[in-house]
Amino acid sequence: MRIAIASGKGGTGKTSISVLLAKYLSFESGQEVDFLDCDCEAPNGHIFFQVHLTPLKTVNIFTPKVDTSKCTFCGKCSEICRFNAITVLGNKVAMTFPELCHGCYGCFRVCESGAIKEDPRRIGKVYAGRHEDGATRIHLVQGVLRIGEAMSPPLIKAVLEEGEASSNLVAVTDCPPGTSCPVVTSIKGADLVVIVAESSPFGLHDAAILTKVVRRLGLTFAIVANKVLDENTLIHEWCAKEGYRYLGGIPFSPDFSMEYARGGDIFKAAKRMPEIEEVLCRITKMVQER
Amino acid sequence: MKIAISVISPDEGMSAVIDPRFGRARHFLLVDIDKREVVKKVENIDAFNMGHGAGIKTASKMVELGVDAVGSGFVGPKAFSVLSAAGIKVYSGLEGSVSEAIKRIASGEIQPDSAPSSNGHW
Ligand code: SF4
Ligand code: SF4
Repeated sequence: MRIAIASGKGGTGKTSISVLLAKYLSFESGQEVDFLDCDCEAPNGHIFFQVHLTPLKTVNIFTPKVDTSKCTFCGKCSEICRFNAITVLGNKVAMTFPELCHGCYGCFRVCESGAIKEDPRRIGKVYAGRHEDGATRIHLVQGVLRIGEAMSPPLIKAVLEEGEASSNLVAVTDCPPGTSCPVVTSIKGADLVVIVAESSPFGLHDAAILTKVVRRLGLTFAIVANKVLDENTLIHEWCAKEGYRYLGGIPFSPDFSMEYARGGDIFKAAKRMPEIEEVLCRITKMVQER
Repeated sequence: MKIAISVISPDEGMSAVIDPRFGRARHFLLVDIDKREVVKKVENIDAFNMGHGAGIKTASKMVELGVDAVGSGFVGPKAFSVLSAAGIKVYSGLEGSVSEAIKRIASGEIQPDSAPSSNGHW
């Protein structure tokens, strides 16, 4: 059972909800829960669980290197590459742009003269650690993208594979922001996607885009409104209008934000906000329904 | 010498306005510098719509067109490396009309670049 926490917009409270949910689920079930931090550009779940992380593996992707002594400059590799990561000029130059390469092996497969060799590129590392605090136990896995690297999906896959290999029954995935490949990779195969929508026009806009992606992938989802100011019902109304499952609204709390920003005890801060527990309880119910 | 210049309004010939972007320019005019006249109009729609690597695509197109030089506002590093590998000169920092730019290039006021003029995303 994997629950993915995603948002579209950044800074809506994905990590907060993920961390709180993982702890809640572990406490309620008395079992260890996997926390899969797929936000590989800035993984930060470990701060709140205070786990000691150890490196598990390095993730590489294929990038092509052209052996010009074998190359016939036929241009087939450059034709198939959707990312312009390889280009052939006339009949003398074949250039590669590794930072654009998605490692799909397309060029490698179409090259008939065996001129394309593999030149692996390190994209990042997977780390893991365990947290135990009274009745809660968390097995945390995170991917850390190499600085300067832009291609996170293969690293995210490696993090998810660790989750699959784990014997724990429940996993919470903290997804990256946005709605492109890294998010698609992180939510694919999830049993439930919780969309954390910031209660603002911008938050609604991005949550709506993400909802389209989630629906296109045929995934079960539900929506939480976060940072709700006063009586703002923007997200709730949107859910009602579209017929989406609404899990409740969490008010904006400077107290919680400050605790989060200094990497402090957000569990304690959350206790002062009954709306959070209500939301976590509803998510748990959805998990049990399935 | 034949130069391809990125333009916004290709139908205006030598008075056309230069597009500051190289990779994502929609149109190019091929100009004969010596004769000061437009030889050909070239569309660049596919690169314009490209998510990544528009500069590389556009630069490869310039190589296919067989131009001696390109002129634009900013030329990114990837496009620059393709163009220089093919021995194509790059004139950047151009603005205003094509005819003004050609004048400045012909007089030697502007020299070809030895390094890319922007660090991408143009
Ligand atoms: S497909 Fe192979 S032979 Fe053809 S240009 Fe590419 S590397 Fe060279
Ligand atoms: S592996 Fe795929 S993305 Fe990379 S250069 Fe080859 S065809 Fe392009």
